Amino acid sequence: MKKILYILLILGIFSSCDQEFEEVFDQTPTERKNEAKAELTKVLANAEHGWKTVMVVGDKIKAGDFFLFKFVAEEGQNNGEVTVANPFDTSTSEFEVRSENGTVLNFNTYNEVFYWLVTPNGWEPGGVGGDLELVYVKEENGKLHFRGKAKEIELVLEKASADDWDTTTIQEDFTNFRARFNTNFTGIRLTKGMGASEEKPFVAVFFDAFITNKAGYSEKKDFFYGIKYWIGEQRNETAEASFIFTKDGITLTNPLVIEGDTLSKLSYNSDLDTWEVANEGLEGEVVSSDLPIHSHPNATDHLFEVLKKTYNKGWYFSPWSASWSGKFTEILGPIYDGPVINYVVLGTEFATPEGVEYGPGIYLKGSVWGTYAYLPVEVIKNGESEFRMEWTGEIISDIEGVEDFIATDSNMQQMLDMLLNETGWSLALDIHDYPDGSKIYSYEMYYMPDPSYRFYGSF
Amino acid sequence: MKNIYILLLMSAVLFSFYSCDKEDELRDESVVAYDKALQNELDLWIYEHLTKPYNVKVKYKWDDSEVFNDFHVVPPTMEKAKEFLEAYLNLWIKTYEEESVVGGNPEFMYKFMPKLLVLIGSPQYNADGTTTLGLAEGGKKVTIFNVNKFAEVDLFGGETPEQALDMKRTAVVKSFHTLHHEFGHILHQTKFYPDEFKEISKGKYTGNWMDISNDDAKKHGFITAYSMSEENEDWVEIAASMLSLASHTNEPKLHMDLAVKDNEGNLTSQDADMYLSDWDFELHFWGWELDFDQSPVRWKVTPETLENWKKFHSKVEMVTTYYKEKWGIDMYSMQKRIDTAVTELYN
Repeated sequence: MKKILYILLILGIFSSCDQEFEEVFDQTPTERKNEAKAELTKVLANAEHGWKTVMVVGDKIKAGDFFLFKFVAEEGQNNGEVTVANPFDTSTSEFEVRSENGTVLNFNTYNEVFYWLVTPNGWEPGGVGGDLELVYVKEENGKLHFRGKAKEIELVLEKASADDWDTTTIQEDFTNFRARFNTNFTGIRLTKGMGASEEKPFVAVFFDAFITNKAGYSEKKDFFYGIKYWIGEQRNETAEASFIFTKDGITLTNPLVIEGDTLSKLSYNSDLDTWEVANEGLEGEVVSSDLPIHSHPNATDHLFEVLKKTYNKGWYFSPWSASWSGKFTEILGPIYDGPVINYVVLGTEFATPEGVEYGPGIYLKGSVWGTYAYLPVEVIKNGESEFRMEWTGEIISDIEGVEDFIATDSNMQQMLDMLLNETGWSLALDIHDYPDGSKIYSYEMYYMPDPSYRFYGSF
Repeated sequence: MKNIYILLLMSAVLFSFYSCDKEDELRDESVVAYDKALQNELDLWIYEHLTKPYNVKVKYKWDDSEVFNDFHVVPPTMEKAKEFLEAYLNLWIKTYEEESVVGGNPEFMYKFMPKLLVLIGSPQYNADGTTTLGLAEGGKKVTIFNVNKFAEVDLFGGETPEQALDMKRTAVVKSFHTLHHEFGHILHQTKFYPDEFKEISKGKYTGNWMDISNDDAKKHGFITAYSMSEENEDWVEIAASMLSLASHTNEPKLHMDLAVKDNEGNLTSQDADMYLSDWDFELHFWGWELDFDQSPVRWKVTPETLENWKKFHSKVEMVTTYYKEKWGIDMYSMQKRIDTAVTELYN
C-alpha cells in the first residue's frame, strides 16, 4: 500500500500538461485526403492529350494492351468521364477518385475497352489479372504510378501526345502482321542469340495465334498466341499470352527466355517488309511458310519407326476426314467408293502369306476383305524432316486386275504420282511426352510441290 | 502515519480530476466534403422510375463495399443495366404491385420489396464450380449477378422474326427467376410457411445438389436441382419457377404429338396436339424418360416418379395457398400479368 502511494505521488509530480506539441500538418486528415483527391483529379484531367500506358497483367495467362486515357472531370468534383482507347476501339465510361487506404482511381462503370483485362469468365474466375480500382502511389518524372487495389498489378501513366491518339499506323501494322498468319506455319527464326547462328538457326513456331484462345476471351482471339519451340528433340510451349500492338511494334506479353536471352519485341522494317526481332542481342525475323519451318531432328526416321509399332504397321490415309486428309479426300474418296481398292496406306513393312518380307511401301487395301496390293518403295531422306519415295516397280498383290486399276484409274494414278513425287514430302512433328513415359507423335505430312495438300496423323 | 497515507491518497484522487483539456474552437465550416455523384441519363431514369415512386436505390456503378471481396466481379454495362431495370420495373415491380392491389394488400410492394438493388455484370464464380446469380441480405438488399448476359438468346439463324421475339420474351421472363427466388426468401422470412411443407420431401435434401441434373431432380419431386439443397430453397424455387415459366400463359403455345396422360397422371399410348403455357408444359412433361423396352421407343413415367410428381403438386398447392392467403398474391394470375407485361415490353 505504502509503495503504491509513493508511486502515485511520483507520477503526479512528474506528470506534465505541456501542450506545446508541434503541428506536423497544417490541415486536418480529412482536409489532406480531400486535397489529395482533388490534386490527383486535377493532374489526370489537366493532361491536354491524356495519358497512355502499356499494361501487362496475369499470371497463368499473360494479357496486355496499349491504352490511352482522357479524363474529363466534373467541375469541382472528383469524378467525371474517361475515354479509354486501344489501337482498335474507343469507349467512354465514368471514373471517380476516392479516398480509402490511399487515393484510389476507380473506373466505376463498365468500359468496353479497359474492362477486358478485368472481367472474369468461366476459364478465369478471377479475371485475367486486371483491376478496376488502382491506388495512387507516386508521381515520378511526370509519370503517375498506381498499383492494383485487389490485384498485384502496376499501372504507370505517361502523358500522351495528340499523335498518340492517331492509331492508324498501328492498325496497318496489325493488318500487315495478321497477314503473316495466312500460311500454314508462322514463327520466329533467330540467327543470333538463344544459341542460334546462321548455320544453325533457332526457330519458334506460333500456334493457335489468331485462331482461338483457351482463356475464354473469344472476342479477343485475334490478340492471343502460343509459341512452341524445341531444345534438341524436347518440345516446349509457352503459356497462352496476348500480343500488344503499339507504335513501337509488337510486345509479346509472355517473353521467351532461353540461355539468358529474352525474346519479347518485334518491329516492322518497312524497307524490307519484314517483322524483325527488336530485343538487344538477338537477330531474327518473323517467317511464314506453307511448308514446315522447323526441321525436327530425325522426323523421317521417327515416322517409319513409330508406324512399325502401330496395329496396321502403316498410316491409313482417311478418305473422308478433312481434318486428317484435307484436300486428299477429294482423291481418296472416289477410290474408296470404287470396286477395287478401299484404303491407301503408307506402309512400313509387309510380309506375304508365303513369308516374303518387304520394307516400306504403299499398301492398297482391297475392297474385298483380306485382299491387298503392296508397292515396295525406297525411302530417300532429303533432310531431317523431308523425304521422297521411289517405287521399285513391283506389285505384290492377290487382287485380280489391280495392275490395270493402277494403270488406268485416274484418282489412283494421281494419288501415286503425288505420293511418289520427285520433290518429296515435308514433315512437321510434335512429340508429346506424358507423365507415364508414353509419347504421342503428331505428324503433318506436306506435299512439297503444293503444300495445300497435307495429311495429319497421331500415333 | 496513517493520516499521511490518507493525505497522499486524497492528493492522488484530486490530481486525477485535474484536466489538461484545452478547448479548441470549432471551425465554422465542415471539413467533411462529399463528391456529388455524377448523374447520367440512367441515373436520372432510375430516380424518376424507381427511387421516387418506390424508394428503391439501385447501385450499378462499382462499389466494392457491396460485394464479397473473396470474389472477383465487375459492374454491368450501362445498356444491359438499363434493359434489366426496364424489365424489372414492368415485369417484376408492377406485376406484383397490381396483383397485390387486387388481392387487397396494396402496401405489399412498398413494405417488402428490397430497397437496395445491386447490379453486377458478371457471375460470381464459386470455388465448387458453381456460379451465384443472386443474393438477398436481410430483406433489404438484393444483388443480381450476370446482368451483362441478361435475357441473352442463342439464335441458330433459321428463326422467323416472330420466333426470335418469342425466344427473347421467354428469356426475359426466365431471367427474373433469381429475383423471384430472392424475394421469396424475404417473404418466407417475414411470414413463415407451414411446417408440413418440410415433411413432404424430407430425407431427399442434399448438399450435393450440384451433382444432380434438373431432369433427375424432377424424378425426386423437385422443380430444380438447387431446390434439393434444403427446404427453404425448395420453397422459393417453386415460387420462382412458377413465375419464370409464365410465357404463353395468356395464349398457350401449340405442342405437337404429346403423349396423353390419364386421370392418375400415367402416360397413355395416345398422342395429341396440346396448347400449353410454359408452366403447364413443365408439369405435363414432368419426369418423363425414354422407355427403350417399347418398340418404337416411347416416353414413360415410373411409379416412383409419379408418386414424387404428386408430392410436388402438394408442395405447389402449399406455395400458391401461402402466397394467396398471406400476401394476396394469386400466382396463376401473376403468371398472366407477367406474360402480358413481357409481350407489351418486347413487341
